[in-house]
Amino acid sequence: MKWTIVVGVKQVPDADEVGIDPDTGRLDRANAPAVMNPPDRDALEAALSIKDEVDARVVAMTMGPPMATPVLEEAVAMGCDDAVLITDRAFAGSDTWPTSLTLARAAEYLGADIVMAGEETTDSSTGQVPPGIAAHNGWAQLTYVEDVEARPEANQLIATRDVEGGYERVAADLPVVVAVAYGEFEPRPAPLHRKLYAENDFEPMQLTAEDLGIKDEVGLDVSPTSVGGMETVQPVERKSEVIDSADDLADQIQEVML
Amino acid sequence: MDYELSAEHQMMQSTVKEIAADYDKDYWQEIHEGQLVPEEIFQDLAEGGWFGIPIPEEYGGHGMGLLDTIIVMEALAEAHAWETTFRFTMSTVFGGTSIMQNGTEAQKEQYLPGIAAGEDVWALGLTEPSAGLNATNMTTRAEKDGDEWVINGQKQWTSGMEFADKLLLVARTEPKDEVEKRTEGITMFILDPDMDGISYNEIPLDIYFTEPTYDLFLDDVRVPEERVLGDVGQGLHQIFGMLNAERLTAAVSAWGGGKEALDTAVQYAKDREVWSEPIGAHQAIQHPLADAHAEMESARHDIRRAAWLADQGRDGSGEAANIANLQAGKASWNACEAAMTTLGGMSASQEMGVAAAWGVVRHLRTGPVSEEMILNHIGQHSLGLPRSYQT
Repeated sequence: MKWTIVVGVKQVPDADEVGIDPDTGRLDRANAPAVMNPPDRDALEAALSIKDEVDARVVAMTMGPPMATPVLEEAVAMGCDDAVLITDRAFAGSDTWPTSLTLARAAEYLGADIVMAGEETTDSSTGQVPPGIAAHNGWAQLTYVEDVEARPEANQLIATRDVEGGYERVAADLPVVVAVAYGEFEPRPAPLHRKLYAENDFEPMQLTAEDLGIKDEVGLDVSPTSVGGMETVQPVERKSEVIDSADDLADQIQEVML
Repeated sequence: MDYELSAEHQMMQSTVKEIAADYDKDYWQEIHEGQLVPEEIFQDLAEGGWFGIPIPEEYGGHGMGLLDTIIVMEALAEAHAWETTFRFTMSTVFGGTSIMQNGTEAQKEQYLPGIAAGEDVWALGLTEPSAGLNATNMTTRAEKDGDEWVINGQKQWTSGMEFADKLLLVARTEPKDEVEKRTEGITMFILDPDMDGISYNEIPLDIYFTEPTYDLFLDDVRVPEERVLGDVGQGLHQIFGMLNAERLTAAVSAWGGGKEALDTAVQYAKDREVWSEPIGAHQAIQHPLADAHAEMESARHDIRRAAWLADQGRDGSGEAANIANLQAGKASWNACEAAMTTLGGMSASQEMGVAAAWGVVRHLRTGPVSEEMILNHIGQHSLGLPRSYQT
C-alpha cells in the first residue's frame, strides 16, 4: 500500500537576520526575510528518506497567507510530490489549538498515514502543534524523533526518540504524527530540475476553513491563549575580575569563604 | 539591453552556493594535501543534475545553454569550489557539447543521459607530444579494417583518464601529406577507457590539479564503426565548436582561481593588523587588490558575453571566446600576484590555498590555448594583419 506522508512546514522570519528594534528594544521580525522553519526542513528530509525506502507520496502543507507559497515551492523542489496552501482570513489570530486542529483536519483531508513536522518553530518555539495534531485526530505521536524506519508490511513506523540520558526505539501503528528533532536529518539539496519545476510550473492546491469544515472553530476568538504582556529583559550585570595567578585565586576564594 | 541576471540564474547561483557551502576551506586543504579528487562535492553536483545544464531535456538534461553553465560555474568559483569547474569542461563540454553538435540520434540517446546525470566522466585525447597547439600535426592514426577502425598512437595531457568513463579521441584517418588541406583527414572517435590496447601513465605534477593528467598509449585499439563521432575526415572542423566552449569553461576555471586568491587576500588585508591598523589601509596593498578586482569584474562580463554569443549562434562568438579566455587568464594571474603581495610569506601556506590557485591559473594561460595563439588569431582575423606564424 502506498503511504501518504504529509509534512507541515511553516514560513518564519530568518532567525539569523532578526535584529533588535533600537527604539523598543524588541525583536524586529518584520524586516527579516521569510524562510522555511529550519526544523521543518529536517522533517521534510525525514519524510523523503522514508519515501526513498518505501512506496510513498510526500505532500507538504503550510497554513498561512498566499505569500507563504515559496516554502511550498521549496518543499516541492526538495522532492515533495505535491503541496497544499491552507489559507483563509478566518485563520487570523489562531493560536496553537486551532492551528493544530486545522492541520489535523488537513491531514485527514489529504489521507495522511504519517504527519511529520519539526519539533518546534523558530518564531514561537511552543512545540505544541505536532502533539496537537495527534490529539485532535486521536492518532499516535512520536516526539523528539532522531531516526525513522518504515515497516510497511506491519503498517508501522519505528522511531528512535531522544530521551533524557539516552534514546528509545518505539513502534507506532499508523496513522501517526512525528515531531522531528532538530539537527538530526541533514536536508538534501534540491536538484536543478525540481527547482525549475517548483518555481516555474508548480501551483499549490489551496484549502480554506470551509473546505475543512472548521469555519467556526478557528481564529482569534476560539484561541485559548492570550498574551498578557511582553517586556524586554535586560541581562543582569555581574561583577567580574581577572585574576592572574592561582595563588591570587586561592586568596580570593578564601576571602569569599570567610 | 539588460545586464541583470534573470531570476532563474539567481536561483541557480544561490542553489549551487548552498551545495558548495558544505565544503569549507579545510575540506579543500585536505584535498590538496592528499592530492585527492573531490568526489563528495562532485557527487552532490551530479545528484543535483548540474552537469546536465545544456543537455536537451529529452536526454535527461535541462535544455539550457552555455551561458547558464558559465553562470553556475561562476557561482561555484565564488563559493570556494572553483576547482569543481574542471569537471564541467570534461563532462559537459568534451562529452556533452561534442555529442550534441555532432552525434547521431543513437549516439545522443546512448551517451547524453549519463553526462546529464553526472554519472559519466569524459576525457579528451587530442594533444600529442609533437602536436600541441598545432593539432594538424597529430600522428595518431586510425585505419579502417572491415567494419572496425584500428587506432595506433600516443596522446599527452589527457586529463582525468584514470577515472573517465568515456574517451573522446581524435585521430588521423588520412595522413597529413595525402590530404588537400592539413585540417582534413582527422576524425573523432568515442572510446571506452578499458578497451584492449589502451594504456596510460599519470604525469607527475608539481601543482595540484583536480583532474590528474596522463600520457595515453593506443596499441591496435579496435573501435566499431558506430563509435565514429561526426563525419570521417572532418573531425578537426567539427571539434572547433566544442573547443570554443572549452575556451570559455577554462576561462571560468582560471577566473575561479583568481577569485579565490583575491577573496582570500582581501579578507587577510582586513584582518591582519600591523602598526595597529589593518594592512588593507595601505595603498601598496589596497591598490593592487582594487585593480585586480576591476580586471576580474571585466573578465566576468567578457566570459558571460562570449557565452551568450555562442548560445545565440552569432558571428563573432569565436573572437569573443578568445578575448574572454585571454582577459580571464591575465586578470586571474594579476589577482594571484596581488594576493601573494598581500599575504607575504603566508601566500605559500597550504591553509590559504593561494599558491595552489596561482600555479593552476598560470597554466591556464597556456592551456587549453596559449595567449600567444589567441593574439595571433586576434591579429590575423580581427585586425586583418598578416599571418604571423607557421605550422
